[in-house]
Parts: sequence; C-alpha cells; structure tokens
Amino acid sequence: MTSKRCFSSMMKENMRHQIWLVVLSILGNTLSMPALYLLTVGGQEVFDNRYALAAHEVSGFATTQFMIPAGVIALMGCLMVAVSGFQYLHSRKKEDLYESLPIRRRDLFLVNWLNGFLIWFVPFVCNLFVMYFMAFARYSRMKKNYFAYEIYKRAVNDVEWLTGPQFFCKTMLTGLALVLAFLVVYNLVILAMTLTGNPINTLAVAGTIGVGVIGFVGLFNVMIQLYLETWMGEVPYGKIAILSPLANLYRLAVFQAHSAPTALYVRVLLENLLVAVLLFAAAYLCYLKRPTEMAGQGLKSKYMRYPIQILVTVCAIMAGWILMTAVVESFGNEEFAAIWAILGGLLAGAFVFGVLDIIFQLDFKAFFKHKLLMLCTVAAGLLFCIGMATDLFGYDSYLPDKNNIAEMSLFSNDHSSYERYWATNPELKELLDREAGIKDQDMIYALLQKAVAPVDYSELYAYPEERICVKVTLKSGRSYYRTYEVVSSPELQAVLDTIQYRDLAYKIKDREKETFVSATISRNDASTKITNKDVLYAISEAYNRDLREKTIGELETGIALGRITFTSMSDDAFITHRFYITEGMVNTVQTLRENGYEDMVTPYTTQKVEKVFLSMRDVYDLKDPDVDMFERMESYFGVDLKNGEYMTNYGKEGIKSMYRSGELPPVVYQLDTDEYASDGWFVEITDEKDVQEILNLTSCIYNYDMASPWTAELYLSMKNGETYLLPSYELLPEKYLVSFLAEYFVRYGK
Amino acid sequence: MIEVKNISKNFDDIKAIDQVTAHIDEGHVFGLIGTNGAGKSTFLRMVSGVLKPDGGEIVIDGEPVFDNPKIKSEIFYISDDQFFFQTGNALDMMKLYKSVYPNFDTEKFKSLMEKFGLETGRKVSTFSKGMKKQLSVILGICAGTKYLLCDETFDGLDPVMRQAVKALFVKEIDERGLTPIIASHNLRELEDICEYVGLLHKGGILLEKDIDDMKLNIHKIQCVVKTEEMLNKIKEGLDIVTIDNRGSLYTITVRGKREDAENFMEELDPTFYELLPLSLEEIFISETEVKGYDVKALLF
Repeated sequence: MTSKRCFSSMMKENMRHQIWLVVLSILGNTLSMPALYLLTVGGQEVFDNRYALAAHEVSGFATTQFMIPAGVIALMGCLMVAVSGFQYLHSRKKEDLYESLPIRRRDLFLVNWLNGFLIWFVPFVCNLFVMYFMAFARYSRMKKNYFAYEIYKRAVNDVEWLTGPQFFCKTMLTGLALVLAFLVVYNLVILAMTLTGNPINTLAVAGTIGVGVIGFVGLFNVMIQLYLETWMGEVPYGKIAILSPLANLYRLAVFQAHSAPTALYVRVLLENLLVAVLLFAAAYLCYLKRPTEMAGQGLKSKYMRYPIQILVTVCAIMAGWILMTAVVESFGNEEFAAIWAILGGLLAGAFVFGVLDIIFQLDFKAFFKHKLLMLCTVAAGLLFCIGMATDLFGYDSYLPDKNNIAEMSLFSNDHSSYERYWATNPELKELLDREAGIKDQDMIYALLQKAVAPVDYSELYAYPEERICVKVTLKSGRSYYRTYEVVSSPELQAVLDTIQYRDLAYKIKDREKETFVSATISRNDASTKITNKDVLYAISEAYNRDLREKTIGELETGIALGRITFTSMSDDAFITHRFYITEGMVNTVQTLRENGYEDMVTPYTTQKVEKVFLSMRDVYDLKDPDVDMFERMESYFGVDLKNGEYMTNYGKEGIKSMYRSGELPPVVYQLDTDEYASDGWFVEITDEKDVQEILNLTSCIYNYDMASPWTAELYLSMKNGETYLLPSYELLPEKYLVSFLAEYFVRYGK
Repeated sequence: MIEVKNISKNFDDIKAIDQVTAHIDEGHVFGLIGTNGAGKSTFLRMVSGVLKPDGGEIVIDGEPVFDNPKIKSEIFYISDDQFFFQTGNALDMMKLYKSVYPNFDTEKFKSLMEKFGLETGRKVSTFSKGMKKQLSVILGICAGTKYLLCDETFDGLDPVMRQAVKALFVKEIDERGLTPIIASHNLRELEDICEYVGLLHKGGILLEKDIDDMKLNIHKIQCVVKTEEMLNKIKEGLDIVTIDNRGSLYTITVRGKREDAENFMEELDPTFYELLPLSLEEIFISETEVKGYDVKALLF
C-alpha cells in the first residue's frame, strides 16, 4: 500500500469516526449564516419603499455582521475538532493504538489536522456562499427598485451603494478573517495538547500562550502608569499582540468591526496568518518530538513548565498588588495601602505558583513541591513591585552628570494642547524624533534638575505646572526619553517664555491647517461649530499670532471666554487641538468677532449676571453628626478654617450672629433652575461687588495640565432668567465656607 | 528478526527498562516473562514503535522501528488494555486496521469471528473482557503481519479459548511463519506454547533462552542425606541455585547436565534421592531469587 493511499484511507476512516462533528458543523454554520440571515434581514418586508435602508441592513449583515454568529461557531468548532481529533494524545490506551499503526507520525498529525479543518471549513464555505448569493440577489433587487423611483435619483449621492465586486470582496474578507480566527485558535489548542497530557494542563498552557505575554505587558504597564512618573512612551500593544495569538485575534475582530483602513486591516490579517502558520509549525514539530508516555500526565517539559509558572506567578503578583491597592485606596486607607499591596501580591503569587504545580504534577500534594523556586519567584516579583512603588531603582530621579550628556532636546508633552488619535499608532518617541526640539542645553539641564528634585507638594496648589518631554543623548551613544511635570519655577518660566516652546506646544502647525475639518467653540451657555476653511484658517493664524506676540503667562491672564477645539484629519491621523480663549488672546478674539462669533467671546459681567450660587459639591452631607465639618472642609478645600480670620476674630457665636444678621452670604437648600435642578446646600451671592469678585476668579484659565487654585460648583443666574453651570473649581473663599459652617451651627445647634 | 540492543527507558525517576539486549528469531513463539513492573509492557511498546527508547536501538529486519511505517506494517501490537471505539463494532475496528495494514485479510476476519462466536455488528463496548481479547487476537492475526506482540493477551481467556488461540498461533506459524511475542506473568500460560523465553526483572533481562535448554540445564533434586557431611559434599559438588528443607527432606535446585547431577548423587549414595524436571514457573522463581527477588515474600 502506497503512503498516499494509506493517507487517504486513514483520512476517510478518521472522518467516519467524526461524523457527528460534521453534522454539528453543517448545522452550526447553516444556522449562523443563511438561516440567521433569513430570520433577521433577509426575509423582512420593505416598508414605505425604503430600499436604501433595507439594502443597507442586508449588506451590513452579509458583509460584516455575520462575523459574530459565524465566529462563535468557528471558535466552538475549532475547539471541538481539535479536542476530538487529538484527544488520543491524552489517553494511553488510544496512544497505544494510534502510535502502533503503520503510519508516520507526520501523516497521523496531518490526517487529524486536515480532517478537523475540513469538518469546519467545507460547511463554512458552502454556507458563506449560500448566504452571499441570497443577500447579493436581494441587495441587487433593492438597488434596482431604489433607482426605479425618480425621487431617489436626486439623492443618489447621499446613499452609498456597493458594487458587485465590493460586496463580494467585503463578504470574502470577513470570511477570511473567520478562517484565520479558526486557524489561530485551532493550532493553539493543538499545540497546547501536544505539549501536555491532560485537558486541564492543555487549558493552562493554551491560556498562557494565548494571552500570557500581553497580560504580563498589560500589568507591567499598569505598574508603570501607577508608579513611574517620568516614564514616557506608549506600550506598543499592536506589536506585542503578535506574541499573544488570542490578543492578536482580538485586534483583528476590532479592526473588522470598526472598518479599519484597508491597508491596516490587511496588515493585521497577514499578522494573524503568520501567527497561525507559526502555531501550526510549532504544533507539528512538538507533535513529532512528543514522547508518547506523556499521555495522561501533566506538563513534564521543564522548558515549558518553569517559564509558564514564573510568568503567570509574576503576573499574579502584580495583579494582586494592583487589586489590593485599588481596594484599600477605595476605602480611604491609603496609609496602609503598601502593606496590603505586599500582602495581596504575596498571597496571589504563592497561590498561583502552588496551584500551577498541582496542575502540572497532577498531584494535590504538590503545592509546595518547588518551595525554593516559589520563594525566589514571589520574592523577585514583590521586589519588583516594591521597587516600582518606591522608585527603588531611581528611575524617576535619574539625571546623568552634565559632562556625560552629549545632547538634550526638549519638547512639549503630547497632551499639552493636542490629542492625537493615530490609526497607525506610532510611538510618542517616533513623533518626537520627527520634530525639532529646543536645544538650549543649559536651560534644559537646569529644568531637569528642578524636575528631579524633591517637590514641596504643599506649594503645588498655588503654582501651575507644565508637562514636558525630553530626549537625552549620552556621550556613550545611548539615548532615553522622559516626561516630567515641572512645578512653577524660574527654570520653567524660562522655557515657557521662549517662542520656540510656544511654537512646539501650542502653535497650530501647517500640516494641521491643511487638514482642518472643523472647529467647535464652546462655553457654558452655548456651542457652535465652524466648518468654513477660510474662517478656520483665519482663527488659527490669529491664535498663532497671539502666541508670537505674548508669553504664556500673558495669554493666561484675563477671563476665560470659552474653549475652542480644532479637528484635523489626514489619512493616517486624527488630531484635535484644544485651548481656552482668554481675554489676553487679542488677535484670536478679534478674529472671532469679525467672523460673527461675538457672542461666543463676550465675557460675563455683572450687567448680565444677577446671582451666583456656590455649592459644596460632595461635601454637603452636613447632616451626619459624626462628621467633623471643620476637618472635612479643611481637608477638601485645603484651607485652615479653625485658625482662619472668622473663627479667630468672631468665634462660633459671632459667626452665628453675623450669619443671622446677613453679614455672611445666605445658604439655600434647593436650587431649581431650568437646566440644573439639584438638591444640596448653596451659598447665594447677590451683592454686585461679590458677584464680580466671583466672576473675576472664574477668569483663571483652567487647563487640565494646570491645576486651578479653587473649585466648587458654580451656578450663574442671569438677569434674563437663564441659569448656567460653570465648570468646577477647587477652593471656596473663606467667607463662603464660613457661611456653610454658620448654617450648620444654626440648623443643628452645634 | 528483532534485535534489541541495550535499550533503556525511564519514566521520570523510574528506570522501566535498563540496558536490555535480546534477539528474537522469526517463526518461533517468544515468551516474555517477568514480575509485575519488570518492564514487559514497556518493552513491547518500544518494540511495537509506540515508545521511543531513551537509549539503545531496536532493529527489526535490519531497520529501526520507531516512526517507520514499513517495519510497523509487519507488527501488530495488542496492548494489555486494547482501545476500541466507544460506539464502534468489530467491523469498525476491522475497517480501521484494514485502512493501514496492507495485508489485512477480511475474509479470514469474518471466518474467525464466526468460529469464535463473536458478532461483527455488536458494539465492542458490550463485549466481555475475554471477548475483547479474542477480538484483538483475531484482528492481529488477520492483519497479516510478521510479528504479533501480545501483552497479557491470555489473561482473561477461558481455558477453551486459550487453547483455541494457541492453536491459531500454531497454524499461523506453520502457514506463514508468524512470530508471536507474548508477554505474561503467568508462566503456565507460556510453558506449553513458547519455544524461547526472555526473563525480564527490574528493568533488566535475566536470561533469554530456549525453553528446552533451560529445562535441560536446571534440575530439582529431592533427597534425604545420611549425615551433615554428605550435605556439605552436595553443596560443594553441585552448582546449587537454591536449597530448601522440610525436616530431613532437602529440595535442591541445581544447574548443569542431568547426567552429571545423577552420577554425582549416585556416587554419594544418600538415603533417598530423586531427580525432577522444573516447571517454567519454578525456573522463573529460582532465577529471580538468585537475583535477590524475594518471591516468597511477595506471595505469602
């Protein structure tokens, strides 16, 4: 008997024993594609001649949406056929039979692999084409009916109709994605089966190979975000995902669902194809080398066991640490967070390591089988976490000696006034490398010394800060990137005052202007959208002129009149450029006025505002007798009320008296406005002078990179009867806080 | 011919087979005997190409067996717990083997199934243990291979069936030179069918001989000696394997030719002596005792 004949007869024989899977596959694929199509969109009547809408539903299902039901079937199918085809690897009896047969291991593998694939693939392809033909026929009919109506001909440009080839390609591309999804998971499961001797070990190994690396990187990134303040960069999940097949598959599904650009989608398709091929090759080689006696055993290979155990344990330690920190902090016990985090990491690490030993050894007594390795892994994991939390490795305070530095470049932080949504997601470092940064070495080094020096946080409320990026190239040739939050200081001011920095951080670049889509001006009472490219260009030019003519400090003075957001979109990027319009931006304000946006840049004045209401936000639970209102208000608003002017000069009774006599602003309990009906306690400010004072205070520019000195919920009651809620501030002037206290004393006899 | 050269196999820290060498000629029944855990199944699994030896090599008809379909097509392995498809019948099993064994004889299969009284259409899962063993043997015979490896195959067969299977083996040996290799711990089963025997013990092979030669070279002497001095002379003059006594009756197992032992005892002239042949079981026990295996401790 020739090898070829033997192979085909074995294929036939193997398929005969999996006939139940063939039936399930046919049933599942039929239900998930043609049947579901007919049940949902394929059999619906078209009401009111809305052919475009109905056709859109048909094409939507047949080109994209069938991915979900058919994908579920594909994933269930690949698990079932993989397990069914290769389950003999987990049974000594079956291994004895199959391995003793006169057929090469290679052929046995291919017979099982190919049969498993065909069991799913053939019914899938048949049903895909059945669904495609049904859907396309209906789609074409609707298209014809649509154009038969004269009235629609005028609106032809408003409806996007797919051509025949487009419809076909989209359907087949989704089908291809499903085939790849099947192959990736199928090969992953087979690989895990060949490496192990029983199902639970297969599960553990498949999970680790499937998402182990991305899980580790994700947790590592959380630790970085939590603890490394100067870390700069984005985790290239797209690149790392290729090391975690299931994560890469998830990317494919997301890209498919969100209609990613074709080039990008094709790249992800190819990546998944590569992953599927690599998994196949790994499964094939592992199968050929697999010792038969592994059947029924756990995971014997130390080259697989220990890396998995260490990787998963370190992940568990980080997860335990992060989870425990979050839980403890959510209960407000921040001072004990470190102890709980260590405990969380320790328990999670030891537990996971021990459980993996039980699984790999298939022995409940094996929890402490590798005590030394367990101890070392958990200790190393905890040391890493502690090191991150305490900057033990000196990452955030690192600054090389100036003599060792060849060059420094300073950039604005990506988020100073931009938000970039990059489809191709280049790293921030790559973006910086494209730009020319500030090169003044002395100025940068002085700033960095300030940035890495210990900060007196008590001063932070009073000073704004700037986030900057730096690229440092050492004389050794090594270079690194960092980002720093620098508190207000002469060193920072020196940077902010340079035109170069303003250009880098705030200027609207030419490439953005070329791809402007729109701009939206918003303030508390209104918003408007500008789409005229000439106007957009004029405003951006005016804004850039302001940046040239004034320092940042000068631009930040005056009342914040509103906020403007420019949107630019090119083939590979979606950029928003957002900033607040202040009175100091004379050119910008003037241009907006000239272009008909006068109302959007006219500040509130007492001529317009009748009253102001200040609330206590979430501190107004004054009814709780256990709460010490002094402490609560002091800690929340950052003031010293007990030793403040009012308590010292007038005492509690004096305050009560002043409150009753109206010397202190009154408190109201409910505020019903047109837009913002709310319960709570509010200080009502009616005196024109006091109202103006509040309005002046609101004029401080607030930018999410620059902490504003005070905050509360602030309602404006206008003279024309309208009310507006202004954005939050963080501190109330003392006399208003005292009003709340006085009301509290009076009302509850405290 | 099967040539096993210094093969070893470890399962974790356990040495299942340690430096075993054996030669199995064609056309004879080879018995592989050994205690529980001696490595018989491991040996057969390696010879059948299921397991790969950690060291040494197994050459069958001049070629290594592992992952070699050409050689494996001449071997049929019946494991001690043969796998049958859960919902399959005997025909399903036949179809599987027929698809891979080029010389599979379907007619013979049907004929033997009938002779053994087994229904081809009945689910194998409803068969008794003995019926499954019979089916395995029938499949093995019909596969048309040169070598048939049977692991504890006679265990579970009733005496009638055992004789029928033995007869079948004899017929196949005569007709086409089949070489059955039968592993068993039940020596009586092998005694009347095996021509050659390999004795495995603690992973190593103790002996590999023609059964007749074995029987010719080891004997049991029962005697009553007149004096202590006479007993000492026996101990010095004969190649004693074991010696045991119940009162004045000594049972001595000795190596060597029957005539030599007989002449020696005749010359010594004890009160009583008798030369008895050893059963294969007694040979096995004696050999394993010599190697330090306490059979009695295990049995009693």
